[in-house]
Amino acid sequence: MKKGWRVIITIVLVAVLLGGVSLAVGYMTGAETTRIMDTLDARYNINMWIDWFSQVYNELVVVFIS
Amino acid sequence: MTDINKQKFLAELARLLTFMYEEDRQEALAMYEGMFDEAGDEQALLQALASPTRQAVVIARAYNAKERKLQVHAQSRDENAAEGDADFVLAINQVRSDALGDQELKPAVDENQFSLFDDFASASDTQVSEPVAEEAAQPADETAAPAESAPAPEAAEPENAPDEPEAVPSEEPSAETEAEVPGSILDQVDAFLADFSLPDDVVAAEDAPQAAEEEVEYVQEELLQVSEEEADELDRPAGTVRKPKVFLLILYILLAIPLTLVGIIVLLVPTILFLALAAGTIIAGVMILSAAFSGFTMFSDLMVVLGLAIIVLALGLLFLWIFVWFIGGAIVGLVRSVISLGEEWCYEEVAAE
Repeated sequence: MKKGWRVIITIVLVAVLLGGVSLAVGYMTGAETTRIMDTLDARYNINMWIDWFSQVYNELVVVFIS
Repeated sequence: MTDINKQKFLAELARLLTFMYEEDRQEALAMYEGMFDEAGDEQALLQALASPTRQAVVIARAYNAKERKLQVHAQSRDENAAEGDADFVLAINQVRSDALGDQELKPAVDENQFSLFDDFASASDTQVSEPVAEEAAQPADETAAPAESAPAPEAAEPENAPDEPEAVPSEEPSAETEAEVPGSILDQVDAFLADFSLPDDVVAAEDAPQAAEEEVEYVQEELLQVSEEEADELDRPAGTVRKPKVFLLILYILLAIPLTLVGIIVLLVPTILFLALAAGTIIAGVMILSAAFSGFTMFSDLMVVLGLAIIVLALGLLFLWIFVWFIGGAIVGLVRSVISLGEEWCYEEVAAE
């Protein structure tokens, strides 16, 4: 298990590093967040999923905290 | 039964001699096999050899892997070089002479004889004095044979020592007439020992300063440890037995099972949660990755979405591993801990009767 943790953490850190580098390169070369969100929303209805998750979160907060 | 003991002995010896080079190992095993073929009484030979572990220790003390390598290398280079016997060969020959020499000294075992050593005292008076006299005639040839032979001849030696000059001439004809073949073989063995055997002090001196023989020393320690364990097993009467404390065990089972089940249920909640997170994250990552190559035309947007997809997939892998850890590490670990705690509390070591 200990060896497994070491391997997984290594892979995750390397992937996060690569993803961060890719994000940095994209924003440095002129990417716009609104354009990306519009494209994703048109394809997968991202805004609908975001609204759904925020409603679920609010309900859970109401049920468990208050 | 005899064949099984011989085969078991040789098989065990083969297993213990793996520290040797293969050729040397085969040679040593062939020599022991020859010993069994020459022996008249295999059971007596097995008794004389004691155990495969002991023989392996004897061989290990006389075997130097690095020196042997140099010796073989030197012999292969120089064709004119005399092929001398390796130390381990000499050691095995010593063992053979001791074992087979003891066998030759022992009289043939009568079916009605209760013990192998019943007639040994009387036989030693006539037959042991012969090799003792020959060794007295060769005072420079100090061999381990008389020291390592059976205790009875050693006990008989001081008794016979003052009578040797008188006993030998009168008993030689009787010894020769009674057993001509064993006497001649004994002469050959003694002559061989006189020419080739290494004195104990030489063998001991070679053992001590060999700092470079790490492998042999390690094997020696292992073999000696094995021999000590073997001795412990022989000395230990019957071992210890784990005995359960019945009342405590029943009480522990009654309490541990429900508590363990509660613990498992509690651990299942985050397990299922992480499974759901892992599945959702991985699906999201795959969807983002597919959108990156089909929905975006600008390179900058593509790089941003690719980076996002890689990060989301990495998080999914992490959640998946946490789920596996909860199953294999947390829940299984909880069960094992409860079982080991029960074994520790509810069992006791009792000396076996």
